[in-house]
Amino acid sequence: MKDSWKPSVLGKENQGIRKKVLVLYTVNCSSFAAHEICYHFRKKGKDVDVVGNESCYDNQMVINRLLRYATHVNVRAVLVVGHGCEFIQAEKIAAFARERGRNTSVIYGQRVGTEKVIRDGIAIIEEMFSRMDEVNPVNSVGDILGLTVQTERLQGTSVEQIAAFAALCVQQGKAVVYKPLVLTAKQAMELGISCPEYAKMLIDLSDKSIWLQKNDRGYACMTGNLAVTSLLMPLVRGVVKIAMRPTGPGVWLLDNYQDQDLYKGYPNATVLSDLLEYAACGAKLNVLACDRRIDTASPVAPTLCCSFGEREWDRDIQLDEKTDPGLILEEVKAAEAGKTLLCEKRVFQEHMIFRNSQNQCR
Amino acid sequence: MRMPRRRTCAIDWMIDMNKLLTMGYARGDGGIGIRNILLIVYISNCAAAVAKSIADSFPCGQDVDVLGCEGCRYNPLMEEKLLTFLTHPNVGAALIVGQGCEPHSAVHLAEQTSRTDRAAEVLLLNQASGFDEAVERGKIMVSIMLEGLRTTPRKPFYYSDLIIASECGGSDYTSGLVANPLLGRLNDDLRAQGATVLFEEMYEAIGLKELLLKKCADEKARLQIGVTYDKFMAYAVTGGQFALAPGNIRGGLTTIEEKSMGAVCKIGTSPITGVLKLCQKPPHPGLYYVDMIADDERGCGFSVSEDASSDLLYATCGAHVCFLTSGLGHVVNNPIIPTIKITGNSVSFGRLSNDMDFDASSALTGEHTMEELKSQLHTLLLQVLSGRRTKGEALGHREAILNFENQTREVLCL
Repeated sequence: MKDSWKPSVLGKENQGIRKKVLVLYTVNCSSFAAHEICYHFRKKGKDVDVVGNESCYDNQMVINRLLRYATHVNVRAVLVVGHGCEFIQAEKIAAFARERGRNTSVIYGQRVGTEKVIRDGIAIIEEMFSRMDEVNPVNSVGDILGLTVQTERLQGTSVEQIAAFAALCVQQGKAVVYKPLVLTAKQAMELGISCPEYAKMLIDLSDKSIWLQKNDRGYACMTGNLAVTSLLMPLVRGVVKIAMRPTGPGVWLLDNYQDQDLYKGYPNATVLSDLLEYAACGAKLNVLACDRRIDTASPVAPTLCCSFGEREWDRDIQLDEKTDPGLILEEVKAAEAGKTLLCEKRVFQEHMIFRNSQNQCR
Repeated sequence: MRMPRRRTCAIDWMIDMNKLLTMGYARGDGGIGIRNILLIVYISNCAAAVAKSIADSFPCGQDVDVLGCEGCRYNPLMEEKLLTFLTHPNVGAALIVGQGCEPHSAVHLAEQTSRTDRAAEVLLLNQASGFDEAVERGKIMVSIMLEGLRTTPRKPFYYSDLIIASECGGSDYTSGLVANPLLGRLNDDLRAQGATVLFEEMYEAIGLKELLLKKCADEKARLQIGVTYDKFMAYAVTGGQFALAPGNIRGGLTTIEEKSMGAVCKIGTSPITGVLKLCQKPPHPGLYYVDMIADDERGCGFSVSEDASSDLLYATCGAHVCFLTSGLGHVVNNPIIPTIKITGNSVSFGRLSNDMDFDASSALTGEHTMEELKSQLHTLLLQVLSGRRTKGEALGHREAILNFENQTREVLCL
């Protein structure tokens, strides 16, 4: 898979927009220590994130995601917290990240116990911060943005604003990853994507999304998501599956559904986990458009929360029907330039990575 | 049904079924708990950060715990699981935190919980103005309910009230030699006293179907165990994965059958009474297998599978406390039932003396007999039942993830 293209106008030397230390756990048994280590720093306002796998069993899609997070452009150093006896190998993840320029270290709870592993982890990250400027990973990925639309009531102008914002991003050379809740066969067929592989992936995505909605007690009622999907169709360049990166500017539809036995590896199914999926696809920054309050502290790729509605709640931008889509883009630029977003101020980071099975030949 | 309490046991220091184990916490629905936990339950991942922030603001010793459902989809068994946690005997009050738009209803869960005479409050994030404000409101709700828990009435807790869960994790060559057989002996004694013992991990009974069938108390139990074994075997074959982890191999185990032979020792020699599905309570004292995986491909199947989550699922069947044996050593605990961790490996205990609760390695060196160690372990159990914190509780461990299984209420014939 070719995963580079000319840096966008916005992309500053095509590098990450943050210098994060990532605490990555390999199994639920080491999650407690990993979270404690991370929160120690987040309570002090340090840019440390935590992400990890819960199940003990082996799963390639989980491994692919973890490798993407460990080598994400926003991540400069990685502390892998293993338990010790699990299937997913902490050393191999660390080695993968080390080979790609990250400062890495590995600790195991089973080898030293809870208190020491937390103490050691904190000491290692302190050391990582002191050497942060020595680390300068070479990033070849393009300028990728994750977009999620979580609305029930949005329609008309608001929907058009979000789609216009996505179009602006594409014009600026960005790849926009977007997960359609439902993609109809008609929509898929009308796209007329020239690449036969992407066309096949698109039809698969449509089939799977319809099957899941139909068999899982009715269709999702995110009308805004459906409307934005329709408006984005002319910009669609292709499909990315789990932990795949877009290969050029345009809108890329995310397919994180299981390929076989659809229910067995149900997709993450919450907005927070979708944001993490975008990060696995290389998104440096996410944009969350919603019409209600959603608290997110997305790890790896920070999230710009823009919401419609007059009620007072936490958000980075308050939108209304008169908001120029260019304003959202300006806020994106500001966030990329280092402006701290609301989600980055929160201590607790939540997500869930499910085990999926996908065929990923492209 | 409570067993008669006037039978005298032949075992030396274990007196009789009328022996008071501890003074438990009496619940309005008749349950008796060994902890008086205020449980914070979040009903979607979107509410998790607020729920955990609230729990984090109370120190470990205050018994404020948190767990929840990560996905945003309706699942009947998930709802039932959450409700069994909220009304578990170890739980005295509850705060249910929701985003407000997810398919599970916080209000419904709170209403059901209140019907068992427990205090239950709802915090919906869509009705709060911000993250910090929601956390502050939650903290106030919890503080008020904690005050109420101080006056929870106490009630005698007997062996016949006790439900024990048995789990192993991070097995090595010592597990089948010491920790599992030791737990098996204790489980035999507890059964003889009228307690109920639960076990699971059919993945770690692979190759031992005939042995398990011979241990069944009757034909119905044999049918249930046989069907359940076949279901797990089919999943293992379909998934192309058996429960022999790299750590097990490094720990000296060579095959899944070898691991299984050690793992099955922990259930002891009592006859297997039957199979329970998730959220089913034992109809009477006995030795029960708990089937924790999905019946069919709907739901996430066996997507999440690790020790802490399995320990938590025992709580859906009413377990009060869990034993976790581990040769390589373990660190986990779960939010509802204290986990007593046992190892037969002195090196592991030396490394993890602040995490592991019981060192049984002296059985290997001959310093203690298994009978002596069993007596010590039983004493530790009594202390934990009476309020002594396990190492995992003291350190604040509260792992576990809930999966989206679908199960019928009967053991299926495949």
